[in-house]
Amino acid sequence: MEEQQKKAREFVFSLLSIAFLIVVVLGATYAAFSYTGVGSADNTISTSKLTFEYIEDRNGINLVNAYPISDEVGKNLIQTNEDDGILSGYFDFTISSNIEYAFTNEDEEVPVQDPVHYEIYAKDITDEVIASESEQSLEKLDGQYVKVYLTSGDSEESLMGDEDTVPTWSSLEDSTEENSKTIYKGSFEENGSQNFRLRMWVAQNYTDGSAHRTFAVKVGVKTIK
Amino acid sequence: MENQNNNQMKDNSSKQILLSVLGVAILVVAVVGVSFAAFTYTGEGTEENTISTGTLSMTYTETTNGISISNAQPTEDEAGKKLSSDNEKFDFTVSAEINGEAEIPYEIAAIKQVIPEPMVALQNKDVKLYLEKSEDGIDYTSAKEPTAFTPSGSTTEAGTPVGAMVLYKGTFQQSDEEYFRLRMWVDHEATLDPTNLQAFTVKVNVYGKAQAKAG
Repeated sequence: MEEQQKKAREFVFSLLSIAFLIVVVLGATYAAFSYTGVGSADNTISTSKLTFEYIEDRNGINLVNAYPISDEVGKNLIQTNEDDGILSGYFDFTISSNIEYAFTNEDEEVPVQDPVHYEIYAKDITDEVIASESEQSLEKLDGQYVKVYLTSGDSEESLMGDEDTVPTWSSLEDSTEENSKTIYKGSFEENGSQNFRLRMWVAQNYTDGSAHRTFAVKVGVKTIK
Repeated sequence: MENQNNNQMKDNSSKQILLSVLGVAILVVAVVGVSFAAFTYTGEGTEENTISTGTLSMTYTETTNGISISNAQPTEDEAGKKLSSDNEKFDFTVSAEINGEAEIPYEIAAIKQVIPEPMVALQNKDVKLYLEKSEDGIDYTSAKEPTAFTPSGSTTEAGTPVGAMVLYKGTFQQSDEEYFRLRMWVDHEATLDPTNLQAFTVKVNVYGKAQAKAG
């Protein structure tokens, strides 16, 4: 009897062992399968680096004791000595653009460059100049009597659109810069530089000689979208 | 006296009969017991009872070169989804071969790479990733809409590590092959630093872990 019980226990134990083994084998088969596919290709986006320079040529323009002149005369103003008593002339400056890239696409020798758009603006600083002047009677010249004329510094080709019409300060488009006007918008298709020449004069239709009046600007450049 | 002899004879006969019966009974039992002890049987089956494991395999294949954009500009999502040049999209396939009652849940993940100096890494929020899926490698539909790079805070069950971004979760329930296309661009609201070269690089990994089919 005891022998039979022992054999029965051994039989049940064997059955359980086999069952356990089957479970372990099946479970181990699927639990052991995991997969990792490791990529080798780099997926990269990178921006360009823009170096934009604005270089001024000595002094700016400051119209004082200027007389009304025609546009034809104004367009051809040349630099004269301050000793002549008449400040005229022009203001030269240069803008340069240089774009660097992180890498070159294998399919292209040079990355396709999006144009770099920029705006030349002039900021009215007349009030500051008047405040700094000791002459108490100096007044601000109305912008409708201030002619603004921008040309290429090399060829002196007009960049104001209409060759026959020189705009006044008042008629220029307001810039996004505070207290400023947009003189010109351009773009660089590729790395390079461009020279500019700015002239300003008193419009021929200005007739009020009752006071000393002045008008002053500072030129600036910024990139735009 | 004669009665006693008769009674004694009757007793002796009874005992003999009883003994005989018992002997026969024992003999019968012995014969029967011996018969059973001597009678063995083997029934040999013809049906095979077999257990065997299934086979599982999975493959990740990169079918094109990676994305390579060198003058990235802020881009609207609708435009980014349509980037079509070879260097603007990345194609790959994920396939599985399953023999047996198993399925393979898997994840496609973007693993952010370190940007070498002097470049500066773009911020996660400024980079959009967009994944498409196809059954035939020809017609694609969105698998994950344009989403800023979002790193996982913990290792997922399938195995995507901390810091990676899960792009897609799927399950192979039978042998199959699926096609995927990844695009990446600078978010239209990103403010780029024009004084620095900025970049963002990811590699794609696939993680799968098989399990027995439910039910």
